[in-house]
Amino acid sequence: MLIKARIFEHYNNYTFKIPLKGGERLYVKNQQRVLPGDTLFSKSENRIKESYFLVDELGCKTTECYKHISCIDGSYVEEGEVLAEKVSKNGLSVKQIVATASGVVDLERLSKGFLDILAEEEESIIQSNFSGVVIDVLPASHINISSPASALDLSATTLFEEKLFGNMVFVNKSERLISEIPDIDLKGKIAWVGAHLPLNLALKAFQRGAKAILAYSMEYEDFKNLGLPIGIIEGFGRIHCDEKFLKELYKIDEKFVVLDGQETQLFIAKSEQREKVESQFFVKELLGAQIISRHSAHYGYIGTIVQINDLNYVTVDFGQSGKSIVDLGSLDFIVM
Amino acid sequence: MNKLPLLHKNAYLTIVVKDNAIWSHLAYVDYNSEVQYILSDYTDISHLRRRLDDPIFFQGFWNEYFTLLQKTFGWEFMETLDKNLNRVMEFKDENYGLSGIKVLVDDNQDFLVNIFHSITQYSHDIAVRVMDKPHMRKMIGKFAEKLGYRNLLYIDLDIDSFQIYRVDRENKNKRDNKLPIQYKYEEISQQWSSEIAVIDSIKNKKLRAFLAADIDSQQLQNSWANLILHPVDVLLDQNLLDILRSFTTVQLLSLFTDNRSKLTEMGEGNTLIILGGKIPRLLGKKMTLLTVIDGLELYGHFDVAWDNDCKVLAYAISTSEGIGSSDIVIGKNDVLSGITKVLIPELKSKRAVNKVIFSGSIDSQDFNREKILLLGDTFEMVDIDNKINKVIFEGKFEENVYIPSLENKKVEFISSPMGTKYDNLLIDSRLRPIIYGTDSYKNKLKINKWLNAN
Repeated sequence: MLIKARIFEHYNNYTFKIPLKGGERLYVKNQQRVLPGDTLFSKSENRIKESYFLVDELGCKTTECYKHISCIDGSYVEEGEVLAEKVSKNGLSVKQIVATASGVVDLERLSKGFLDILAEEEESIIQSNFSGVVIDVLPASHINISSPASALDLSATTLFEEKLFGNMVFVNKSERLISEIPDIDLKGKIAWVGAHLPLNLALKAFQRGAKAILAYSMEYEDFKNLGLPIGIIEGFGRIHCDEKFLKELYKIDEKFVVLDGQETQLFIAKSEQREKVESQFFVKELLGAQIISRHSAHYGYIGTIVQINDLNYVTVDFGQSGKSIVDLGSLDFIVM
Repeated sequence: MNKLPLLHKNAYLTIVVKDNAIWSHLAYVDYNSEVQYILSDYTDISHLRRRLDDPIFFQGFWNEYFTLLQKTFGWEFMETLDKNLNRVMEFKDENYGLSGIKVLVDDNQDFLVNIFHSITQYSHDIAVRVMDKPHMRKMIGKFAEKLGYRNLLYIDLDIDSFQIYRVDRENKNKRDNKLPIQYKYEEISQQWSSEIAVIDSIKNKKLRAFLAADIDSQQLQNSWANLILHPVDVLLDQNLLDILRSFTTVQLLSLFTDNRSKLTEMGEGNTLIILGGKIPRLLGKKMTLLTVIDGLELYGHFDVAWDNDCKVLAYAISTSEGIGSSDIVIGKNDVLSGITKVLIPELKSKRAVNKVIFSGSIDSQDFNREKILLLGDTFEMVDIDNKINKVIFEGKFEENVYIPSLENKKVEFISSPMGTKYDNLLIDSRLRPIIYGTDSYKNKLKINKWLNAN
């Protein structure tokens, strides 16, 4: 029997956890109903003014960045001061990172390879853009909220037990790759910069303060080496991302999402569940069923079965890409 | 426990949940009318692997599964009473009712506890058991007794877990209906903790020595990662097949190196190797045998059975217990598909290369006698066409090979559709030691020669 893979699992009520680090001012309490626009909590934060990726700039591993730092965490530096230095070739070669702006040094992301210069402290307010009920509040630990939600399975994520939250932002909705990140504030956001994620673009998004990046595919080596929060929806290498999927994905723009490393899923909180909550697991009828191909000739293409042939073969209509005869074992049945 | 009278009609459903797949086998027997068969179904649940701990899975999955399964088999066996109480309908006749349902869940299956609870929540009539080490020991111990082999190995080759269970029945004392603990049991296991760990295992430098596909590291990593993340039931991509073959060989070789003492004396003619798991299904018989022979450095002669649909896991214990079985009395031929007889001689010298090393014949009343001549330094599989009558195979190795486990170098066996059915004979006369490398092109030439030799 054949199972339908639900690309988005829709829930009328799903309890998700917003992690708290401590120092937040809470505006919600247990059993409180939360509506879009309500303030959940606020915290004092410094906006990132400048960011340097030491792995690229100095040519060192993320685990060795601390060895080259020549400034103190939390200290104020003036423009032109040396922040990090790497001496090599017995002192013949010296690479330096010089502050291009004045501000407070922040080494919080040093383990991920970043050295940040922060602007003045400002209060950031986390507001709800969904409706739900607060189930549990534990300061410095978490807020649990039950709300209508959808979940998107991820193929892989660099997070392990961690959960990251923020508003989803689509920096690039075109099919083409971009080389520069437009002037959008990504601080605290989960960003999408295109279906395929090249390493240099990922770094630029993180330099802009993105909390995590969601992508359809990227090179496995980059995924492993980057060491920053990434969620991969489909897989590795350049994989065709079907526009039918993108159309559904773009619906989560600006939504509050939780990237859950433990579940390897992305949860999307909503103000109401407009999608049909699918209750059936199995494919009842092959004809007309929607599939995604796992055959190397059309890997990742979404199509519809239009004819059943002998010996487990079916004809699939891939729309503009034409029709193809495919073995059933090379197809995944899907529901958007 | 009640013993089943041998001649009564009976139907029983055993479900195996393993490697994110569900294998259902409904066995029906009516010995008075000489009717016995197994209806089978396979469901891949890997798409649900992130959601097996989800309340949605608990609520509706098994209800929908059993409803559809009844339709697929054309057999009514579940009824829903008040308050969603699901009962197994008592067995009345063919197509109606069952004497029981048992679900065997592999102890490596993700969310084992959730699956366990969700089934018991669906119906208390369904017995749920875990396929763990004691279960596997019981299965191979009893099955080896039933089939009369001294050594029986169940080699379970899933991509994320390699497990070998072995029983050596040299000591034949046993207590009735209990695990024959006096036998010598061995287990060898290699498991990866996560999908990422399996993907990274491809970085093993030895892998390159076995690869025949000329692909760069980046493509190798990406293709392998996608195969792990999106498992398929059919593998048509030749590069991926080659990566999987190389990966399996390297892993088996590593298991063999670490456990050499546990894997001795397998080629002395009284050994059955049962190959199960996803990898043999994807690679096919011949490529799997090439991988297993090279990975475990096998030689001599032994039999290989294939458990591609987990029927052995489902019914080997029932088959072995015969009329003492508490679920169903089922014959071994319904559980075991055709056996492959494997003969691995050693060429005495390079002069035997491309010379006749084996001559034999296949004879049956169903077809004309066929003569077989095999050359040295080949890897050849001969199909045995089982129809109605018995097939007699006779053959003899020439003096230019060395195979001490065969008396007078003679091979004689009978394949019987109602008895022990042999589907293939594999003779691996490649010149030892087998050398892979030094580059992918040379591997490609060798592997092409071995796999396309027929």
